[in-house]
Amino acid sequence: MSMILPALESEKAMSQRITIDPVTRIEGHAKITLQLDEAGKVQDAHFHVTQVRGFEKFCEGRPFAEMPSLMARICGICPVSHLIASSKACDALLAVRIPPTAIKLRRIMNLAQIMQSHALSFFYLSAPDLLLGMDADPAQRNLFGVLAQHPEIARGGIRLRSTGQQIIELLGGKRIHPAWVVPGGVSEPLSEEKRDTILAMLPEARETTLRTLDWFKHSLSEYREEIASFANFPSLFMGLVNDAHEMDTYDGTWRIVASDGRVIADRLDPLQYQTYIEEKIENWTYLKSPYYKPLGLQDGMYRVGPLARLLVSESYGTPKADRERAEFLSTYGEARTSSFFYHYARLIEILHACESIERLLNEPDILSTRVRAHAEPNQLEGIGVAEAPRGTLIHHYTIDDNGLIRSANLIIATGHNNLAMNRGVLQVAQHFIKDTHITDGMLNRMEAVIRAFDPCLSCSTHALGEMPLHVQVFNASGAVVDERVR
Amino acid sequence: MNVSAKLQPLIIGIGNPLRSDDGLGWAVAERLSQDGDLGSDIHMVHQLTPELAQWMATADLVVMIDASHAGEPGELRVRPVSPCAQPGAVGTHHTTPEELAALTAGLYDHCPPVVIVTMTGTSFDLGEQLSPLITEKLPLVSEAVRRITQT
Repeated sequence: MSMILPALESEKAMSQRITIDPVTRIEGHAKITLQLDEAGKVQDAHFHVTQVRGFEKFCEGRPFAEMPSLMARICGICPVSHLIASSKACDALLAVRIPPTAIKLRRIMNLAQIMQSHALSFFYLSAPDLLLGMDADPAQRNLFGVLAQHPEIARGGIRLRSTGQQIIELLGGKRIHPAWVVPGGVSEPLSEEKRDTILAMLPEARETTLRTLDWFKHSLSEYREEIASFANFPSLFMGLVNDAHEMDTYDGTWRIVASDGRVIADRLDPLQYQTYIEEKIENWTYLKSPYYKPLGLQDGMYRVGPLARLLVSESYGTPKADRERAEFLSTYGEARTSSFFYHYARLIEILHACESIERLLNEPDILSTRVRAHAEPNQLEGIGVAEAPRGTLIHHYTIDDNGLIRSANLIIATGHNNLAMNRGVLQVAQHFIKDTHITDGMLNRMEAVIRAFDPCLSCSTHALGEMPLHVQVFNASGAVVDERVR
Repeated sequence: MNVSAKLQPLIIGIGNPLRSDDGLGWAVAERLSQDGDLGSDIHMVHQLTPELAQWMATADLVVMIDASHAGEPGELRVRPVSPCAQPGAVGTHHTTPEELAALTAGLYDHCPPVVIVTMTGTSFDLGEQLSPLITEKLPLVSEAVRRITQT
């Protein structure tokens, strides 16, 4: 698709706005608007999340024990992340230390969730751009297009996602919305048969990931311009690490680093999140914009998710993933903060998940039947934090004396990246839109920078049906002067 | 269709059991699973997704079961599915049986016969119970699936 903006000569006083509504191949509904100045140059950009679901409100009054199952319904892609953060918040309400085996089993499920979600993001949503090109025909830029030209990668991606889903299903009984993670632990121990079944799946998943990583690394030279312009700017990065500063997806403390690697804050207690994180509310989006409070809105913008986890930690703690991490850092140096590299980090995390699940399944107590602590509520406030595929996820509940929810506050991983996504769209637009002639490839890059973050807007909205790209061009008085739908 | 006793059918119940009659596909799949005499691999899904292709490719026959809005309430329909010639962008929220058949054929150079069995529901509101009409007619759907897999 190609679009010519209105001739500027007759409209010198006219500023213009471009709307991409909805953004495609992301999880959920959103739109992008670009404001052009009188010379036709991009002046500002906004990434709008256009629907609200209200989970924080309608769970008020419900028994706290229902929260994990209720919160899992927030999203069909990452229900496990919500299950885990919610159950951890409920563990805090019970004031119990859950059995060590239950922690390991929860970790395995969270890693399987990361595996399947990253596979979805990379192979289904972003591979069409990466394999077929940002300027490819939109009709071909989908999984069928990938299949036609790269059948091995398409097959591997589908298989990889399926492996993550099967692990979740084996553990939780269902691949979507499993109710196995409960306050106090998990509801069922792991059987030997299931453990062996999962172990048998991992070598293929690992080989698929290594093969894809190999292809991806060799293809990066074709994306120099995108690497340079896809949300490539200084910011903070935040994620959970353990005591040895290894990446941790289930527990630990927050570490915050700057783009140059300087440690800005270390061993921050996630339970004190309100001390460190402020949420800004904008009137043009339902997605809140958190920032690191001590540095203020301007300097406190941070990124979370796979790239952030790679940068804040000193290692993954698993050998193959650590080799890939070292290669990435040595190859890309200062450019490593480009959000284009979220794709790279996503693949390394899948590899880490394979290694880590295998290690946990081989722990001597993994088949222990002691997997749940039982108690009544012993505290009226509980906070649960874990790393979801897209970044740090926070669930914070208060209850009354009867165990009914009084308030819930959720800070979703995608929200942490909101400020960076907005700045990223602006950077891409300013880089690629040089005049009033806007091509589909340019528009696709504005969506692709959002896809790099893999936002899960289903966590605050939910998409139904098809998501066509709708572009509207407004003049200064708000009238639509051009429109395209694909 | 001449199918021997060695037939390896794949049954896919589609729907949302929290949406009243939309749970029809799951209810039938669950009943067939409990009976356990079909020798089928049975999946229950909220919607069709690309991962199903790998299971479809290894089956001799695929039977999908879903509730329908079209037609008279309680109307039973059985139709074969052909891989579509020009599939759209399959994804996590919307993939048609025809697109999934095409994806299976494209990925694995083989797609078995696919049949979809639907019954028109009366209520798709929030609720975990099937409507009285669909509850009464549910055995007809199970029987239709049995006939397809055993004839």
